[in-house]
Amino acid sequence: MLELIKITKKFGDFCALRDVDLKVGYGEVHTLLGENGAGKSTLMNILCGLYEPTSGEIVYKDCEWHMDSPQTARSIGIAMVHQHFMLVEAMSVLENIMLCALGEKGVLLDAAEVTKKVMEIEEMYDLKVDLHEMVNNLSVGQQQKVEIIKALYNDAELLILDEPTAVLTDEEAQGLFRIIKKLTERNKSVIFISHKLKEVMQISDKITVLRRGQTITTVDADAYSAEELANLMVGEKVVSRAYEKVPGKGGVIYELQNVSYHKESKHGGLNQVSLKVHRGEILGVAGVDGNGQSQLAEILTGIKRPEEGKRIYEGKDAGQYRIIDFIRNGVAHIPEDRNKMGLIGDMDIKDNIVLKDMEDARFSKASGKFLLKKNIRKYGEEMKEKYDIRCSSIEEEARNLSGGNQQKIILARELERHPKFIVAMHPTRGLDIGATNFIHDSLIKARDAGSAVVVVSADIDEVMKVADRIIVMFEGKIMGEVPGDNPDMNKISSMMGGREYERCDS
Amino acid sequence: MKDAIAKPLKKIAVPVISAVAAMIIGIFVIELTGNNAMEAYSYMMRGAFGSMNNICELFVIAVPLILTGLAVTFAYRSGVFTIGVDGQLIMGAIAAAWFVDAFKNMPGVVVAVGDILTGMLVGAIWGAIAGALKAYRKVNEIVSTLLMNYIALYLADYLYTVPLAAESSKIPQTEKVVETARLPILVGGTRLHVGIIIALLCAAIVYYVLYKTAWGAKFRAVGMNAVAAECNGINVKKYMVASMAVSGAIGGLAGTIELLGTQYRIQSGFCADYGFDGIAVALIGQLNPIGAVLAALFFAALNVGSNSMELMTNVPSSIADIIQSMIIFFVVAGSVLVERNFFKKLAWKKGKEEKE
Repeated sequence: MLELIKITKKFGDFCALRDVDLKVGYGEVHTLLGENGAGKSTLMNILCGLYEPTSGEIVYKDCEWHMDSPQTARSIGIAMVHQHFMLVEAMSVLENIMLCALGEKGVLLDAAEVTKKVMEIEEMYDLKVDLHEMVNNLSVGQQQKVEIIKALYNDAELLILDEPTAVLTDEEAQGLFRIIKKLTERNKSVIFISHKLKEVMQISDKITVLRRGQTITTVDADAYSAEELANLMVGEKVVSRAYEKVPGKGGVIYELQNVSYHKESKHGGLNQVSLKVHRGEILGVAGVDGNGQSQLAEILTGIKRPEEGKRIYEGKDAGQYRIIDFIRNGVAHIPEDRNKMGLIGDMDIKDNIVLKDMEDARFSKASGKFLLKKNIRKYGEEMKEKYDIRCSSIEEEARNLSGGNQQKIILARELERHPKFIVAMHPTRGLDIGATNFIHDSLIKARDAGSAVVVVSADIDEVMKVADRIIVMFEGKIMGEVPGDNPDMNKISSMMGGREYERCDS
Repeated sequence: MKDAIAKPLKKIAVPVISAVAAMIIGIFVIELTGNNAMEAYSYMMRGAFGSMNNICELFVIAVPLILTGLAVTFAYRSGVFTIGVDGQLIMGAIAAAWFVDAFKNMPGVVVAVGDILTGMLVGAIWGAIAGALKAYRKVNEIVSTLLMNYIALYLADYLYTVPLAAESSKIPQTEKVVETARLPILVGGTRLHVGIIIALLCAAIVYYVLYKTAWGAKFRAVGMNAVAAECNGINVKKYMVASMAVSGAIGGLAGTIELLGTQYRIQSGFCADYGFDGIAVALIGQLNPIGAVLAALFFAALNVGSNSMELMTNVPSSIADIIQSMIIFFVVAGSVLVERNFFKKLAWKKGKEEKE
């Protein structure tokens, strides 16, 4: 059905894809497997017309196509369901579907006609969504269904699902797989992007492994075991780096007592959250993204104030602390969105590194009245070495760096202040293995130096790797706790799905 | 090291190329009016630089432009898009006019210094109101400063027409500033006064604050990414208000200097859109204090030169306005092309690619 031949894509000097081949047959679920940055998304963006390849051919249904825009791809039946949904939240499901149909038929669109066709689709593929519900009232899983309906409404034959399960609970994911089966029964094909091996094994017919922009191999899914696939993907024997798990020593540094924030919002609030963090331990916060983790991190760092409950830091009531009060008292924050919250992208690297310390005697005279540029530059060079920040110069603007190096700038800024308490949210999201390990090592080092660390991550493997204790959040509540040493995986996943356990802690 | 040369060069290139391009298009416009462009331009050059007197006049015109340009530069660098410098200028000037009249019997230096401080203070308050509205009530600063300009303008109209009106005069205007309090003339026989030195000093201070202090770095951080600034412990709201207060103080200073050094009294037309010209000056100066000085001098040269061009040829001085407008247009468009971050935001597709 689809054949990509020797696709190469260069961004400047950087070669994102080199001679990548991919063949997808009718009625096939074909998985693209690869680490972050292996080129999966780039390849799919080329296929759906967002990027133009530097060289190579796209052959679809025996014709060669020049994908110059997403419209071209859509018109021949290739549709992509992006990781971040392209839905208008303040509109109903039906209106959203009509929006994407508008392009073809002009302004005269018959709601009844659309409804009829959508109902047929819903029936055919078992995609039950209330058409008149507002999108922002839908769960993430239902929103995904709307995206799929949108694609099918436009007669898509080849669906690209970009990490579709990343935002779903296990149960929702199984629902999605049933839908995918129905699609393939009707001879439609699915390209599935994921790096979760288990589900890849479950759903795929064929698997193509990408590594550093190159096709490594294409295999039949049932011929390989999960470990073998993991090795193909990473390219070297996966040694799951184990850190020693330690109990916190030195008492409680931070405590939340029945803290609530926007309690009524299940995916954007906190409901009666209590927790204790000890010096010298890493507390892992697991859970599917968007179950109040962002709010928890923001409460802990002072960006938000609790609406109810108590916030106690170093034995003192910190309910009214502002961000600056927490910073002055040794709280470090590695925020979830490094570009939006962590870095001043248009500022250069060295200024970002000293952003919190400009009044310090090391970097300025008379607490900030005159900046000592020479010292800042020297310090920046030191940090560049120490944190292995790869850049052409520390005078370069932070926005020009890759995600991993940006994260290292934040790490240098936060950890060099010798914090007593660190909140790290999705600290390695979107980073390659090298940078990921570096960041985990740094957090462990900070822990061993006596800092209390809270690591919030949607990646359960990451939490299990570094955390000494693990709590799980669901709909703004803490569902329970497991030890970091040999955690009970079943218990964690059932808590992620909403089952509550008695907590033995505190 | 390559960056150290390439970066400033890139910054200068856009305004210079824009100016040249606008002047070239100006040739066609002048030819269209049936005049000789080369002749017109040569009169323009002579008008701006032809004699000591002309050069001094150029500096006189440049003083308020430098100051309003700096006021806009400071606010824009902090992420506040003010168009309220006109209002701050007129409020500062009218307060200064009151002060100078009320204390005219004091020694001249005391009156002048006190007057400048009064003008700056009132300008700062006028600016800070809009800043506070933005920071604490999320009122768009473009709307609030625009409306506050009208309030300032008509309030000033009232003040110089009724309570502050000169007694002997038939037209509404304030009392002339007493001679002792006027800014000293630098070059005898011209209008060039100490204000130019104050303006240049002000540019140096703004540069120092923005680029050499922690305070300035935080202003710029707020301007570039307010969310990250907030997360890093900077009190964004306070800085927003402060940036408008500083911007307003410079605007008020512009009004006071204009009063004490050039016009000596306030009447209708005192302000002459200096605030809006300040926006143009700031943009052409690439939001850099030194750039603002250069851009203001260039604008002043066009202004003075075009007046003499009008006297000597049939070319109307509004040609200079056309050239000015084109330069602004080119500079903004050119900056978008050169500055990669602006460019990225515009060309989302390219931006997305680079992120990968």
